[in-house]
Amino acid sequence: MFTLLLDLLIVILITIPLMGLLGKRFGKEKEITSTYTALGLLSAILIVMFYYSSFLSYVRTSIVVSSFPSLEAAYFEVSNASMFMILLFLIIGVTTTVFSYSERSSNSTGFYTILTALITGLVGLTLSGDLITLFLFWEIMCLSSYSLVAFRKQSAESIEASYKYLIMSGAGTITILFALSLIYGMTGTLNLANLSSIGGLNANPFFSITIVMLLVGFGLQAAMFPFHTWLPDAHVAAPSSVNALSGVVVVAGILGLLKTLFLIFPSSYAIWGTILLVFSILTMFIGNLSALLQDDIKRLLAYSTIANSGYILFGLAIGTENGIAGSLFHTLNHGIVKALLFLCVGSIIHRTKTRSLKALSGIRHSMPFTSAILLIGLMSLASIPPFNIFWSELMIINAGIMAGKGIFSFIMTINMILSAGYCLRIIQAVAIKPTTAITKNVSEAPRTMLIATSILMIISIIIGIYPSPFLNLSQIAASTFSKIIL
Amino acid sequence: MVIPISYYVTCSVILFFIGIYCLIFKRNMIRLLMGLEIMLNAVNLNFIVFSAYGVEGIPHPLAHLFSIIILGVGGTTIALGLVITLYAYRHYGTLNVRKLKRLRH
Repeated sequence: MFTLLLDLLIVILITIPLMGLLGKRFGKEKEITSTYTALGLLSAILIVMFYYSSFLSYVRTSIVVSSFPSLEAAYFEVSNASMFMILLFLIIGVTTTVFSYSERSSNSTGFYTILTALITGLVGLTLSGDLITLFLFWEIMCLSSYSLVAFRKQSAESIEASYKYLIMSGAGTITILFALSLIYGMTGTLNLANLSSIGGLNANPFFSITIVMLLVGFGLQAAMFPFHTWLPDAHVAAPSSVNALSGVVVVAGILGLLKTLFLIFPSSYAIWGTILLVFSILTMFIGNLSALLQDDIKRLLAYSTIANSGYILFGLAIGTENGIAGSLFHTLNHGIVKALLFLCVGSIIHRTKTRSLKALSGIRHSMPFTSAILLIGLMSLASIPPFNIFWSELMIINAGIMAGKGIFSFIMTINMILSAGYCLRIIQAVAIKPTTAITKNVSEAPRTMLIATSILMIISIIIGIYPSPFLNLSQIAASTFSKIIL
Repeated sequence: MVIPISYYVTCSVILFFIGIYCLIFKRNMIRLLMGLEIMLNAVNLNFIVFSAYGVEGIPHPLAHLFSIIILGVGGTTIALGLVITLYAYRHYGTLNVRKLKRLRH
């Protein structure tokens, strides 16, 4: 029907509830649903690796898949950029599934169904070749993230955070839709390929309003500065395994910006480039400075996600091919490292039942393996050279200097020092401080949680030591978007 | 006599801002969801008007298709919002959105 990958994911999504029913018959609901979801997502990874292997090579390719060609709708475009992002989504989906096996105690069928729906939404969003398809999968993604945030419905915090997220993100989505309707009114089509070939929209009076509306709507999902307030609340309230998708849900907003601004409005880079530049710098500062003050460890990592989203937006605002490549590469690295950190913190919270950084001091004595993995993730987040985030941040800063925006690169360097500050604070609490009454008597995390976090740790170290293939892939992916600019 | 397109667009922009006003100033949780619905209808009005004015006399089917999809998806969002409102009422015993402040530090 659609592309092979999306078909597979939709079939898995529909059959998980049936598997849950089967599992209930045998009294093994959690085992059967989690194994089924993990195997399904693994087979999706295999499809990406082998069936779509040409898109992971160093040659730029893209194919268009359409179901109803006469209506200009339901287009999918498989390209290097989309496969690059999809691999990240699927890897994080698999590790989250493996991790949440030990965390779930009830209603695992519902959890895995919504989780797979979120992954499917993200994959479809990445593959979409016209704005209707993009909106449809965007809504699938948004609806499943609202319900995942509200998943622990017995806690008032979750419900409150989910309501806040729903109202803010709903308003953002409708703002995007209004912009889409204006685009439709100006051009008469919503197909991205047609839209990018039209050009010359500048004469229209609604033109700059459309750009601002797109920036507001997608920026809200990407946690851009004035609209970032939903993110820390949602992260504190959601189950730990859902937090691992934090770096990925933010990517949806970035992808929306890439698909609309870079493909439809490349000629008016002067307008949106400046707005994006200013707000990305503000986002970095707000994220880092708020993270420095937090005692709640989940809230701290959530603010760090906002700061990293600022780095990615800065890469987009630079607008050159190197900048976009740096952004895409940073998206991959940050997604993996943030998933690693949230899963480690999740397994610590699973054992200790507290989120306070003070109460968690000296945890390394009782949970040595989890703490070691957590320290590696923190060193990567602090952009220390042998780990992966260093390379992508270097790439963005380098691109900024080459594009003549050296002063902003300097500001980003200051932000990296701030982010190293809060990473060192967690390292100090975990590894140096003496144990407290809470951390003395806990045992090591369950085995499935350790497996999930070590997979992500190995990927992070591999990218850190040998970044060139990933760098090249992100360069190729970036050339899909930047062919028209500058 | 044909009504100029700018009248419709003005109307939909006014509707959109009524929705935003509702989101910012109202306190009832269900009323906020109604604000979202008003904004959604502004978008639908836009799509239908633009589809009629593209080629004289022949409405473009793409926009009609899209606005039907928008109606369905909007209904789903509101349904989820009402579920969450229900749970919030059970936890807090009120529908006033200003009273939901356990997350603030």
